[in-house]
This record gives sequence, structure tokens and C-alpha cells, in this order.
Amino acid sequence: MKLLFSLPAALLLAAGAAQANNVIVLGSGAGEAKVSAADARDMFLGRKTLWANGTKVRVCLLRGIPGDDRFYAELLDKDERQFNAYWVRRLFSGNGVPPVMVTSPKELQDFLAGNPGGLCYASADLLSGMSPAPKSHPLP
Amino acid sequence: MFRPFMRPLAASVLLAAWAGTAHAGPMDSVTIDGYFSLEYEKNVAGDEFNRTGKDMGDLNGSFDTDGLDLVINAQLDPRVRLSTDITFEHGAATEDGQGNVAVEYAFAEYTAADWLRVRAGKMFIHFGIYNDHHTAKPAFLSVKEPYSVGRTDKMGDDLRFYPRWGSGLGLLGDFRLAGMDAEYAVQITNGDIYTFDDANGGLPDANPYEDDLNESKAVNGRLRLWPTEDLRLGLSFYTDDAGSFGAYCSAVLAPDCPAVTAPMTGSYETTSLGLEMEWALGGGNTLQAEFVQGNSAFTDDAGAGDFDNDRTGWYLMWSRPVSEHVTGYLRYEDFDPSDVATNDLMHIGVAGINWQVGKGAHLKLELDHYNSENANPELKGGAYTELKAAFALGF
Repeated sequence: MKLLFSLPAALLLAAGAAQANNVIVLGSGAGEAKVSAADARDMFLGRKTLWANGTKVRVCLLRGIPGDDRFYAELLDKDERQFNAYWVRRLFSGNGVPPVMVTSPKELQDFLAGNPGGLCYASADLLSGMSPAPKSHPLP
Repeated sequence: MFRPFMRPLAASVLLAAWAGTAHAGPMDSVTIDGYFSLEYEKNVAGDEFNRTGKDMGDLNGSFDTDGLDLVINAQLDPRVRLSTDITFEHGAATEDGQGNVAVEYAFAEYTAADWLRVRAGKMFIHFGIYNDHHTAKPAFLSVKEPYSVGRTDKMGDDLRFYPRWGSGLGLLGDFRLAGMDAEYAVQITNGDIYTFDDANGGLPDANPYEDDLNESKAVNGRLRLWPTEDLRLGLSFYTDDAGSFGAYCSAVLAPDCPAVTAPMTGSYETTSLGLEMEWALGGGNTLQAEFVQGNSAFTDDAGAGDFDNDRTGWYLMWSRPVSEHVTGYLRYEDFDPSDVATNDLMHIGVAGINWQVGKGAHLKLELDHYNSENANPELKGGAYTELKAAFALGF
């Protein structure tokens, strides 16, 4: 019985820790140290494409990291399927380019180097291997 | 790195062209995506011919290499983007005059602000839910878009509510209205061509993406609001005053035109108004609906062939995931080609499944049942059921 109670609790703790580790990463040209939840949502949905300083916003995602559900459900108010369907429509109707997927610290580094206005969703663990570490903050 | 939903397409076309040049180019600002679809249709039950002997559906069962489209975006500057969709339809083989190669859209866009983007070029007409991505089969569940609001020529009226494309200028933007997400699009274009060249097989006698045959411009717009994250409402309109008009009225425009045997000249006006809704009900259940009413009015120079006709089309679609990768859908469509004529309604019922078999890849299988009243110009009282299947891939 003790195991039955403790296992869900452990899973919840693990998920919570993973979510806390996920961050928003900003490129060097973002001109802002932090983005609000509303701005981050609009950027990931392609509704906000320029930073206040005029730099082009380009977004990237590290897919499949623990805590993704919170990113989709709480920040974007969509599940992953809805998010993908949204961007397929938007792309093919000529209304923008969807987020780039990155799979490693190197790819994230390359993306930010090529896109100073980059805004990415990643895990803090991924950033620990990067030097210099990019600007980042927890999910708003 | 790879793009979501789809595997990367090697940017072979542009990269090959660029590789021959010496300067470091802006290729890293160019993205290439696209989509492909193969379709199959067969009349599997019901009437094979209508009362005038016309085939109803595909009697033989045919594979259609529906399309391969390349979608290219070039971000030339933080505020300037070039976007195009180049399509190769129906296994295009130009040497044999088969299929179609076309520019679905090609426009330059300047972003003054996110609430004000200015476009210039050939664009999809932004009207309703489907038209601005109607060729992108991976982007919707069913094999075909709803005919009752987008392809009324399939349901008894060759004059559609709005043309597919327009050449001209557009303003678009995203904004918030009273706390709601909102987006708008307004376009000013040449409009459609409503005159037809007798000596050229009845094809339009001008290219509407190059020439306007009259001074007035077509104007259309669409406003979408999200009262909640789960509900989207939209309103669209299209209006065009064609100015002058000459046509094979009896052949091309039935039932809008009175029965005449000779081309008429005069002025033609078309106006359409559409409502749209998409509602995520929870548990994966989604309702989608559109209603469009259009008016077409012709004033005959000779005073004999005036007509004024209202048309109405609508559909309601329900979809629900039945497993992680399979979504089922049901759709009912209704179209009334003329408020003047009686017994001319046509209905379509669709039941199907969409199975996502891989990243960006979908198998679709559906049964479409068509039936009509006796005076419907397309089916003339006939009824049949067609099996439709498709493989659609986005990349």
C-alpha cells in the first residue's frame, strides 16, 4: 500500500521538477531579458514576429523534453496535435514559417547564432552544456 | 535541425541554383516546405448517370496524382518576406498538355507591425475557413474541402461565391480586441474574369492576374475572433462589380442566367457574405461550420436578360479522435443554387477517417453521398455514393 501511494507522488514530483527546469531562451538580439506569457504565446503562434527593437523573431522548440504538456497546455492553450495543425494551416496559407526543431545543444547554439532574434523553448539541462550560456528564464 | 511536423526537404532546387554563384547568399533565410497528395475516387453505389446522361462521380475508379506543391519563404529582411506556392497538379506533363503547373500564390510582404502587414502579388482570396489553404490536403481532415461553400460548381452553380485567387494588394494583421485574439485580412484585386472566348474553347479571354477588364476592383475581407481559446468565429465578404460582361450565359452560368442561346453583354455584380465557426468542445470533439450567402446580379445592355439570384451554401462538420493517430469525421452539406428556382437543392453527406501514419503523413478514407432535387443543375435529381481515399504528405 505504501508503494501505491508513494509512486504517484514521486511521479508528480519528477514532473514538477522537469517543468521547473524548462526555460525560454532568448537570442542576443532580443533586446529584452524576459518575455511575458502573452508575448511568448504570440511569438510561438506566429502572431508576434518583431521584437520591440525591430529584430525579427524566430522561434525554435526542443521537442519531447519532460514537462512539454505544461508548455502546450498552459502557455499556448493547445495540445501538441492542435499546435501542429495550427502551424500546418498557417504555413500552407502563406502566413508564416513554423518553429524550428532543435535536438541538441549544438543545434540550439547554431540556431541562436544565425537568429539573433531567436526565442526557444528548451530544458535548462541543455543549456548547461553551452558556452557562453544564452539568456534564459523559466516559463512565464 | 528539422522543422516540426515534417522531415526536411533537401533544398535542392534553390541550393543547386545558388551553388553556382560565388557570393555567400541569404539561403539561410530561405525555407522550403511543401505537400503532396494522391487521391482515388469511385462511384460505388447509386445512379451512374443523371437524366441528361452525364457521368455521376468517377465510374471507373481513378487515381489522381492530385498535386505536388513547393512552398518557399524567403525572409529578405526582418520586415520583408517573399512567399510562394508553386504547384504541379495532376501529374503535370506540359509537353502533352496534361495537368497543371501554376503559381498558387506569390507575394511580397512588408511587416509594418504585427497588426499591419502589407502584401502585393497573387494571393489566395481570404474567405472562410478553407480557401487560403484549399490545395494543402495535409492541412485538413477530409479528402476534399466542403463543396457547398467553396466549389459550388460541383453542386449546380458555376458562379462561385468568390474566386480562388486574386492579384493585387492585401492588408493583414493580428491584434487583440476587447481581450480577444483577432486577425483580419482585406484584399483589393482585379477580381475574376466573367467573359469567355468563344474561339478559345470558352476559356476566360484574359488573365485576371495580369489584366483587369474593368475599372472597378474586387474587394474582400475576413475578420476572425477568438472569444475563448476553444472557439473561433469569423466573418468574410467578397464583392466585385465586373462592369462589362459577355458570356455563354446558358452554358456557363446556369442557373443564374435566364435561358439564352447567344452571349449577352451588360454589367455583372457579385456579392458574398460568409460566417465561420470552429469550436473545440473538449474530449477532442470539434465542430466546424460555415454559412455563405451570395448574390449575383446581371444587367443586360439589351434589357432583356437581367437576372438577380441569391445562392446559399452551408455545412456542419463534427470530428473526434478515435485513437492517438486516427480521427473520425462526419459532415453534412447543403447548397441552394437559386432562390428563384424550386426543387434545386443538392446535399452531400460525408463520413470518413483520417489516419496519421507518420510525421506529416495522412491516409484518408471516406464515403460521400450526393443527392439532389430534380431541378438541381448538376445532378438533376440523381443520387450516388462515392468512395474517396487519399494519401497526403506535408514536408
